[in-house]
Amino acid sequence: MSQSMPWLESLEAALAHAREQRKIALVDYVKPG
Amino acid sequence: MDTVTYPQPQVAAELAAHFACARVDITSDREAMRQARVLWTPWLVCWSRHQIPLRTVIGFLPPAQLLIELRFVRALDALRRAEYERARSLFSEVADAADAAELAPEAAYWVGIAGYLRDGDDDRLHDAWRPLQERWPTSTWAARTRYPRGRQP
Repeated sequence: MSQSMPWLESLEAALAHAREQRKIALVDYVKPG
Repeated sequence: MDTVTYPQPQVAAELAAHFACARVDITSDREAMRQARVLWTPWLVCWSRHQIPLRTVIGFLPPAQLLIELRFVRALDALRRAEYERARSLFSEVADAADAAELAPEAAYWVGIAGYLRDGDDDRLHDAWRPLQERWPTSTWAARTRYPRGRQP
C-alpha cells in the first residue's frame, strides 16, 4: 500500500497507476495513523 | 486489515498479482469524507483499469473472506473485458468455495450471466441457473431468476 496524499490526487494517481499496470485498482479509504 | 488481513501470504500474493493497491486518507477531513461518499472504514473500492467501478467492500474482512471478494472482483473485471469463459470460471470458483457464504449465490447468478453474454442462449442461461435455484432456493439471487420466460426480466 502506498503513502497517503490529499484524497482526490491520491485517488486519481491510484487509477492512473492501475491503468499503467493493466491491473484492477483497489483503493482502501483509511483513517490516518 | 493492516495487522491481520493484508499481511496474510495468500492475500498479499493475490493483491500483488492482480491489483494495483493504493491508500486514500479521507477521515482526517470531514469534507473529503463527504465528497468521497465514504461513511465508514474499512471501505475498499475496486475499479477496472478503464475506471469502471467494479465493487465496494465495506467493513473488516478476515483473509479468507477478502480472498473470496478479490476473486469475485476479478470475475467482474473479466466480464467487463468480455472474457466470458474466464469470468464464468472465476464465478464458479466463488460459488463453490467453502468460505463464500452469501457471496456464493450471487456468484452462481453471474455464472449464468457470463454464459449468456458469451452465447446469447436463453435456455442455457436457465440451465446454468438451476444449481443456484437448487442450492440457495430462498436467496434473493435465486428469486431474480424466476421471471416469466419469453419476456425481458
